[in-house]
Amino acid sequence: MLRLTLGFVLLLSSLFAANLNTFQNTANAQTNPLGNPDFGLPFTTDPGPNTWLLGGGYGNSTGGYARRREWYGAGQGIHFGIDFSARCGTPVASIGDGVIIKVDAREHGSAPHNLLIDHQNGYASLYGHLLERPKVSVGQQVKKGEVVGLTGDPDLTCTSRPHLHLEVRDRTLRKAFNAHLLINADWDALSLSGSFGRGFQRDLDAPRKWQSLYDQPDINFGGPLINDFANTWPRDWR
Amino acid sequence: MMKLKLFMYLAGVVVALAACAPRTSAATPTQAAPVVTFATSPAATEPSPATPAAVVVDAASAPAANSQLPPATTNQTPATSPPLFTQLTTGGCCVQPFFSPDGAHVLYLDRPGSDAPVGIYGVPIAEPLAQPTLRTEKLGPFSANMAYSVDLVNGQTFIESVNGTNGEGERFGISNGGRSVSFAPDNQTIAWTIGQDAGNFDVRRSEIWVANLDGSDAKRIATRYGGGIVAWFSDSQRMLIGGKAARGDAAPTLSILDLRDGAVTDLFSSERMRGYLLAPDDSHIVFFIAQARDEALDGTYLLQLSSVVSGTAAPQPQRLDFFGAYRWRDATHLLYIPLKLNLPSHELWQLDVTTGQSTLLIPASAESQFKVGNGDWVVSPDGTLITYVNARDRNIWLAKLPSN
Repeated sequence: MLRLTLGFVLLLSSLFAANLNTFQNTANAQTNPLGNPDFGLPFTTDPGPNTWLLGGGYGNSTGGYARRREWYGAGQGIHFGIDFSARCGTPVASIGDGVIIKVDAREHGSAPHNLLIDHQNGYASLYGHLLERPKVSVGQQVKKGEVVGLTGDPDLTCTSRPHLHLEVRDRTLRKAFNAHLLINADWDALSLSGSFGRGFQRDLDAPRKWQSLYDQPDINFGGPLINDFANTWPRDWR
Repeated sequence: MMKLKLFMYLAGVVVALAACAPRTSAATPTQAAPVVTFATSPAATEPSPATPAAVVVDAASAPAANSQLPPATTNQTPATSPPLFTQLTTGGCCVQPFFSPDGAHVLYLDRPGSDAPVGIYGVPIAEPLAQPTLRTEKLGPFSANMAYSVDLVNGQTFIESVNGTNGEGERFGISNGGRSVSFAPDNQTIAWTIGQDAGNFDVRRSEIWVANLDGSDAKRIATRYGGGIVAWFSDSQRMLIGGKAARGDAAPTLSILDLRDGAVTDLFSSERMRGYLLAPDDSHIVFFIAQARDEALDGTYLLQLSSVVSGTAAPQPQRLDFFGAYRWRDATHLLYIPLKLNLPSHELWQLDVTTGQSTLLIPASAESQFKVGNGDWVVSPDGTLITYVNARDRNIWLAKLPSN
């Protein structure tokens, strides 16, 4: 009886694993600790030059590494969200059903305005660099795809670097996850624009580590830097 | 009953093991390289000679205001040969591949084992899945012919000759405050930018400096705001620069900077220009505008430079009928992957900039191995191949392009 039970358990677990692989599409096999939430993209339109584009991905990007202490030190040196370039005023949609838990919570960064939603499945999402204080209230229920704010520019000009910064955290808000694994989107296609590829910073002691959108570390806010490599490439150019 | 129990147990183990196995098994170096032939339909495994492989887009339908391309004509000529896909590496290795200057090897940065040195490794394109070999322990950036590499040592920039080329052991310290450099095509001149560390990105001051290869005779030759060096022209005497000439300018400008006298020729000005790519013969540049305040500006553009070089006319860029990733195949053919979501694989198109015709070289299909990861794809020096990171298995692959 024990072996029969074990067989069923293994069978079920293998079927679950297969489904997980299907969901993650081309992602490396990295399981989500809280399960798969089926989040969607934070916009109501398709990507394009006059709507929105993938800017900086989550993780150990070269751009994030260059600012590992200055901007991302609180997130262990990792770019702990996904940046979507969009002109100021582009509607931002909730990535899933949930409840507004914070509005303009400066302690979580992403000025000038931000918004946090508890999705009641173990995950929360943060929408940063919003144009104005979101016209939603704490405790308000929102649906996946519902507009909850407008994109802005952290430099307050709408010409410097207008974009949405999106994070997926646990509901304690102390941990951020690789959102590419949690948001159901064609990230490979979204990575294709213009004349450039997507580069990640190398630890030359282990140069294959953290080199795709799908293979990036989760971070704990307030923890030590995890990418202050002794030997790295690209070099720490001024 | 015991047999049933045993069957269920074994079935569970087998399925669980199968689920734990990699979805794409990595071939060992001794296995024959998988060569995948492009399929013209989801059901086909071989190309059908009767099925045109080329699809033509009418460029006249593009929203171009200033068309410099001839009117498009219908081209039903199929690509002369189907693309072939060849796996080059195994084990999820590696990213950011590039071709050796002679096009014979695909190179990438790696450290294949804990006891192996980190460096640039290579696989011969003629021997897919061959054991990668260390080409150099210099990591780059490299000059175009890979004769020189630049490195940062204790905060100082050094230019070093790469093993076995151009006088082994050449090493020049560059007094530029630990900044990377860009090599002119002739390897006689270098350039770098000294940027402002703070302030809004679109108005940060950026000084453009040039010097001899050994760092001598360094001089500031231009200043831009929110921009810098874009590309070298092949004569090594001029470069493309971008940004605002004055901090208060309304929009950045793409310009030609002549290093001989510092003269600047402005080409085109618009907000939110990005992704500049100069054609191999300097005849055109492609770029895109995204999320401009004036939505009508958004799109991909082709700017003809020959008239500027000859001094006959001010150029007007033409908007192209696609948006996505692009690379030059040769002086007259631009390859592009349109931004389309949720296709079974990526499409590859080719624009002939002399005729305005776009031709589909690699259609999307479940059988196609052309699914690019990390946005990593590079064209070979002779324009016959693409090397790319395959998003399906994270290995480096080759795509042989149909001939023109």
